[in-house]
Amino acid sequence: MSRPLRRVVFFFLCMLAGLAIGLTYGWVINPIQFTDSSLHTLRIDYRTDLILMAAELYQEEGNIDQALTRLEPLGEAPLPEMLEQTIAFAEEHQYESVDLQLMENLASAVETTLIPPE
Amino acid sequence: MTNQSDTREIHTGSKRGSWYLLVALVLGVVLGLIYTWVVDPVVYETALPSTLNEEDKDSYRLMIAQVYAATGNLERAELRLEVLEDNNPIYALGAQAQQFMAEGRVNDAQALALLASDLQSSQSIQDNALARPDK
Repeated sequence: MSRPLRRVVFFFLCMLAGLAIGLTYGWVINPIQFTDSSLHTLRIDYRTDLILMAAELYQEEGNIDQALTRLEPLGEAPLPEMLEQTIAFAEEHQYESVDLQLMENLASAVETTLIPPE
Repeated sequence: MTNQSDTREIHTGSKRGSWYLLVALVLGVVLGLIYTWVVDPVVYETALPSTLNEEDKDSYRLMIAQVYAATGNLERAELRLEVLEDNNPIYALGAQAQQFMAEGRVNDAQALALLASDLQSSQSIQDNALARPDK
């Protein structure tokens, strides 16, 4: 290998090593900390409580459009899928049966609204 | 003479070699950090309510107040408010109620004001109980 070519190869090898160090540091060791988080990044237990609140309000108001407006900012996944995950979490963590029932009612209403029966 | 200039050349060459490798390494690290901190930062779905932006904190607080207005469960509302870590939850509720009232969101403002008022009353009762120990 000629000398200039070897220098180019070493240059890129060192740059790759630097890149690997930078990626590891930025993603694993010291990832960026968000202080202005959004509702969709909430930890699942808090998200579940917000969904329970939406379910409690839906029970009182019976207004599915209002419920959908409340649920929309909570997740990027499709709503029925998000509700399913949340109910599974609530069951796993032994939420009271009354609360589970409220969430299931809301999930069922959301599913009926978003996926109309054929 | 030739020997001396050869030695100097080799010496300068190796010095230059180290520097350009170091420059490449630093360039790589900088590119890596720009990518991980600016272009594609890690977004964990583990945020706490206290780290929410102000707008989302207001939505969270409003939902707590609306549920309280509907169910009357003060204990649950208090527990829910705690996670927002407001310095003074009653003041935060009151301030938000005033802001919503000014914006014409009367129902939302009333729900917030009701929770603020009931929390205040409950706190006064607790303070009085502490101030008057049983004889």
